Amino acid sequence: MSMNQRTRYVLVGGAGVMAVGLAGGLAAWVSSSLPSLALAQERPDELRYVPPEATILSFANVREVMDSDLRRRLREIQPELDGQREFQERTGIDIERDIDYVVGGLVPDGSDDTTGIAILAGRFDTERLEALALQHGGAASDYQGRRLITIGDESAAMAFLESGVIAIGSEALVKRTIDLPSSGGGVDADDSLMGLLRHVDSGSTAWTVGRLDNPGGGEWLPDQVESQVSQVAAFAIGARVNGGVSGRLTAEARDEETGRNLRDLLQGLLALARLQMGSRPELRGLLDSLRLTSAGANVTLAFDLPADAVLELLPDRPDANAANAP
Amino acid sequence: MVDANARPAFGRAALRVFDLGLGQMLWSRRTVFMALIAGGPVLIAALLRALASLPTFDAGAGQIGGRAVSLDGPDIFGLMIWTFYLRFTVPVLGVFYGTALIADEVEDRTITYLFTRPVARGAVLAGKYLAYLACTAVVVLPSVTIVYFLVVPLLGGSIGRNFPALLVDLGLIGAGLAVYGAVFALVGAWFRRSLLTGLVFVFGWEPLVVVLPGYMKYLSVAYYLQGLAPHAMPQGDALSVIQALLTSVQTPLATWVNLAALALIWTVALAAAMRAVERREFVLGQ
Repeated sequence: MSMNQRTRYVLVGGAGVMAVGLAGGLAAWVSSSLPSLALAQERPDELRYVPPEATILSFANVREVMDSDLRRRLREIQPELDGQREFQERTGIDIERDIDYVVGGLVPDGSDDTTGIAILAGRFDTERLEALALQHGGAASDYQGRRLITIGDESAAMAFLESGVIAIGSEALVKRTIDLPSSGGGVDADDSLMGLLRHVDSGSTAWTVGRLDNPGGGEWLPDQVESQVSQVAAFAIGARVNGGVSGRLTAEARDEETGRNLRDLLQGLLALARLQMGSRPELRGLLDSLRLTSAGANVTLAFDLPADAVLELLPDRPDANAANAP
Repeated sequence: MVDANARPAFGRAALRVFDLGLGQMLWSRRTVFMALIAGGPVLIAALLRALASLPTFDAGAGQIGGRAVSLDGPDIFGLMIWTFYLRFTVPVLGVFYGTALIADEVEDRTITYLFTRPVARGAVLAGKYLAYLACTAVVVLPSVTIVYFLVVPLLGGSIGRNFPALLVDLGLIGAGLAVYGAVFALVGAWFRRSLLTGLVFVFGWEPLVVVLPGYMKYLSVAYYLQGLAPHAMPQGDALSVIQALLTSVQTPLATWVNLAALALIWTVALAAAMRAVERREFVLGQ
């Protein structure tokens, strides 16, 4: 080769930048792939009470939501959440004050259906809760040394797992929850589900992760929706609530090609929604906050809704009622 | 005994032309233009990094001025790949360098010297094409890598987790430079006003046909290239919104189809360009 010195320097310089960049990226990729570093979101201890067969797992920091600026503004419009009073009358639990956080799971019951379990952590007056349940026709008993209250008609049950922790769900599932510590542990040992927390930002106020590719994984979905999302293997959604709501929804497609198809589909739906923004101005805040990205088989929809945009979406807001008035 | 008049083999001749052409190409005025369009994204990425060091920018909490932002570093990098590289740098470099492979020699009246050498005319084009690939790759690919390392760590992005997407981006940009270069080498060998033809193709034909329903989009390079992009398409303008809408209602091509289409375009365009150079009579103007 007869290329001159300057040309050689440029080629070597370019190749050097590439070599250093690729080597650095490769090293970072290898270290980020180590399982110990994969979990971005801390795990609540109460996950050990959720059965390992759970396909959907949720967490909500109720205290943070109730103390948030957004909730304060919502309270001015809607002093009580839907069903809040009914829940308090039936269980004696005041969502606003008694609960710190909730962990929930959906568990396939083997008959084309799923049942849910909710583990509530907070400050509970167990004697008052038991008395109230009995007053509503429930029955109290002891199961594995724990107090179990069943409400006969609905085969629902509530158990006091430890101080400040109660489980609510179907009787069978609550009993299974009590049995878990002595029968192999809960869902927190399931890396395929817990690994999805890497898509959830640390410090999220609420999150839900779920696998749809496990047996019974999509049973909780309506039939029409289940067929539509059959190419999604798993999903994770995490949100931070304070002045507004921000977070991201990540869907893991079954392969990269499906991921690209899913991205294109969502992109089209967003484009369609944007075209209709003229007739639905209340959607502007929501649509402007959405950002669609994808990497490999993962498609992520990030959102960042300020409090005003959230309030705009409420059907019960005062200005909406005024606008709808004859 | 060695025959001094014997033609060297095609590959050997092409490498010799590559050797000469690379230096010429790298130190031409066109390289200033290439450095500007490849350096622009690096400058913007460096500015973003500088902004990230300001007190109002809380990278740990993903906030700017106390307000949460929904974009993170990998998202911004994806937008930059689409906007700066796939939609601009790659086709524009393909046009400027590809059309000039032969047109420059005609314009400078030096093509006669090249074609009177005992080498196949096709080898001249092949050598110059290889020089174009090396010249653009050595500037554009490091630019992408630097932008990646500057932008991806912003707002909690992970360099490690997004590394496979960088590899795909580098491969995609390399493939884009190769295919656009081959197409415009053909345009340069065939058309008199090749630069104008190339610019009309890149800025007129391609943006239009990829948003039109029907089969016209198959007659573009952008359609296959964009079909392989690992990042979501940005939707900043009306054309992008329409393109997103249409893309979602049609069945996207499989990865292997996009790759096969690009390989086919590359092969046909390069072979046709070499054939055109072999057969065409180049008339030098006054």
